[in-house]
Amino acid sequence: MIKQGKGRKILFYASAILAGLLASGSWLYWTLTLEGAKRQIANGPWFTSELYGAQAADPFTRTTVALSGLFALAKEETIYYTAFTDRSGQLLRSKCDYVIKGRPLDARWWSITLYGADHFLVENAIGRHAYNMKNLTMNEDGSFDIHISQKEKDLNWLPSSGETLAGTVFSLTLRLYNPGQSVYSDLPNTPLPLIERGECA
Amino acid sequence: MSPLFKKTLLWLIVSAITGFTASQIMIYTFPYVIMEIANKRLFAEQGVNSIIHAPRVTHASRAVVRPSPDLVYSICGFDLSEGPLEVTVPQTNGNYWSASAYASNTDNFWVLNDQSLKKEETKIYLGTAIQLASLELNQDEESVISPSNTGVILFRNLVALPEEFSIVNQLRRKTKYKPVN
Repeated sequence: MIKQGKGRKILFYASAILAGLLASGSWLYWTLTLEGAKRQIANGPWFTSELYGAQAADPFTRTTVALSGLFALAKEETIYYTAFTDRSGQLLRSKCDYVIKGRPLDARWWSITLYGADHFLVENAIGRHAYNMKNLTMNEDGSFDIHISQKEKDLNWLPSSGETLAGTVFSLTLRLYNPGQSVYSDLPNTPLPLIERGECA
Repeated sequence: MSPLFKKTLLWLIVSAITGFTASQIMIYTFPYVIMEIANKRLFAEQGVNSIIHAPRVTHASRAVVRPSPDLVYSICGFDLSEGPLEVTVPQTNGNYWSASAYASNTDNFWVLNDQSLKKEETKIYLGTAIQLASLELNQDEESVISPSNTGVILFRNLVALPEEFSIVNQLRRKTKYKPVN
């Protein structure tokens, strides 16, 4: 009888502690997700966050930074815009062709990099993962087009083929090093390249 | 108050106290845990207080997510428990370069870029406030107060074109890092 009573007591407290742990885990997940989303700044399909590289003040902010922008630099030093969709809001997919159309950006240095669904660079035949302001071939009017495709293109080809990427989504990161004040003081409206979808396989 | 009500109330109180305590512990310790995981991945072989000049980033680079292929990274885990550190950085080739320091809770507490490097060599002293107060520094030497005893310094070196790698690689290897005697 005594053993049975002790067993019930253990079960009683264990279930209460387990419920508390599950509730705290869920609360933390949703709070961080909502907090992260709330601080994101959209600019067409590109989004950025003022949190990246920030010397965070509160534990929520600090945890969000640690999870989403470890070792990132503050916006006065570098701005990171990331896109998971094209201009129409469709996810970027390796089976589709895309053209990134833009003009030189107001920064000392800028580049556009393609990442696989796992957030790492994608293996491809030419070892090309990014274009930057120096290695892009510009159009006569000073604009540029970057062609994302599994098929080889004549100019500014950023391959989306690769074993880890085939049939999956990918993303792009636009980095602006030492951006002009006009950029970091107006993150939602600064002119950024357009991402236009072409044909899909 | 019925025994069932009392029991339910006790269950809810235990559950709430556990949940609150666990969430506070998690929210305060997450950044430290994430930094510790990154440190273990990055400095497992070489240890802290020495610079690792990482090779060029490729599709096989897996230490930190979303690496930039335009940069070559050098990284150093620091431990100030034995005293402050002296970092000497060379002038760059004109490409973007930066050094940034991160505390053990991931806060980026300091950054310096090539536009602030005025001499052939720039000396930077990294330490706690107490450690740096006891140092006699020249006006042109930079002192950086670290909010924690441990952390990471990350050097970013831009390689705009493949042919620039050789010179950038030579220059970054002139970075010196040693304890202050």
